[in-house]
Amino acid sequence: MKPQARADGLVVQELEDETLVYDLGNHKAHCLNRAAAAVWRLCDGTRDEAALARLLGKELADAVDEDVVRLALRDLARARLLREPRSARPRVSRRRLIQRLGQAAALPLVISIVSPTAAQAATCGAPVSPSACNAGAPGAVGCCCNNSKICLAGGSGCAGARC
Amino acid sequence: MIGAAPLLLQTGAAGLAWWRIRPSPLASNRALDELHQAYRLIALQAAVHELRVARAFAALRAARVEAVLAKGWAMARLYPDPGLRPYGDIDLYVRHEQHAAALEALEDPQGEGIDLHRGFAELDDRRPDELVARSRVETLQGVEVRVFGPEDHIRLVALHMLRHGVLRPLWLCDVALALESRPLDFDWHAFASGSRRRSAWVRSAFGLAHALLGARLDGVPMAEGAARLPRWLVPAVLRQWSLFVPPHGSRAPMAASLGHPAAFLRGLLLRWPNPVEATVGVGGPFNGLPRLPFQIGDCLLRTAQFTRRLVAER
Repeated sequence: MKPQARADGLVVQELEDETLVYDLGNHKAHCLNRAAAAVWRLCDGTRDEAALARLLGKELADAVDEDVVRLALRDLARARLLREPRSARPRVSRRRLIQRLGQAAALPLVISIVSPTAAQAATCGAPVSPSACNAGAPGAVGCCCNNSKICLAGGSGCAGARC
Repeated sequence: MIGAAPLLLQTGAAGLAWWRIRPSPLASNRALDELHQAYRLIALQAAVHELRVARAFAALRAARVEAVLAKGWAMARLYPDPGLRPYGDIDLYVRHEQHAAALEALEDPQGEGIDLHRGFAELDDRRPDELVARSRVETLQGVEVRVFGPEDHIRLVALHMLRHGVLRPLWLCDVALALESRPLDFDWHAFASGSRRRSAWVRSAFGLAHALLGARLDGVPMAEGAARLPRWLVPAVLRQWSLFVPPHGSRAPMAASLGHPAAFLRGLLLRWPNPVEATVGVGGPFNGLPRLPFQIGDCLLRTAQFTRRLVAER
């Protein structure tokens, strides 16, 4: 399998030690730690897992197990950041890998960014579209929709009182 | 810090707070995870926002409309990291005669979060030609974006903050940052041109930034005057910050509560102007006189405007 990173419909923001990705299609946001971001960047459709593990090892200045790469690919695929929807399942779970390698911080990690409730009021500025509200776009809940309703939590969409 | 986290989140300062604590042991405190999340969210929204700004300018330029961007990205770019300064709206200023063409070029400005200003709002005491001549062109996502010159932008940001009663601490951070990061060739003469009352207001804003945030006033003409604030000003701002008031856009419109006395009264109380807002609202000076007459005057002025609007709509 030679995975390829998705580029279309994504907005990427590189920070010091993590990479943030916003999917314009499903309005989901993800945070990739350094290792996951490196795997994602190396997925150019020409490299198999062994090659990715070798290159990741060079980048992190440490030998990398192929299961680590598989873990990253699984998480990246789940976040729909790879072109192919499926990835090879890791032979071991994250927990077993941590036990085996003893370095939780070095394992690739892709997490979803959830908007902190109280921050929503502060980041409200522009009205959100009903589709962004329905999809739970970051920072949408609690804000005004461009049809003048409030974006309600829990996927209830733009409804309720006029804002 | 943990106790202050909800207020930091509510007022948009969570990113700044995270930036401050991240090299310290506090950063590993799970109770402050929300600050980190807010920082990430702000950084991501900034990236999305940049695309919208670039798209807007490309559309306007194709229609031969030259706009100037203020606040939002124009301010956030002065911060050292994209996760520090949240912003939502895209504030674009066009000449009066170009407003209709701009609306047509943008198709759905409200849907894109664009606040299209007809004319130059807080800077309408200056000639548009001068504003454009002092403006700068920056490149964003491969598109040229025009922003106000520093002498005009700092004035606009400060006046906007005062007009809204220094509602958000983040706005004062903007003033402090714009002041301290001004270029070496900052033209104080150009800054002070236009309304002398407004120039005096902005100097008070500098004084506030100095008093509350330690902003340096080195090289600011009449810095002593700026630093000498009326006694009521700092307490009024601190009191405003302690009573977090929902932003204007998220308050229910007054017209919707006309038939409901309790809601109407609540709406009125929410809209009672703070001393800063009232002073600017009636065009008064920041001096030592009591503010209650200014607050009553501003309230009467707004009531008259509201009534005129209601009558015109019916």
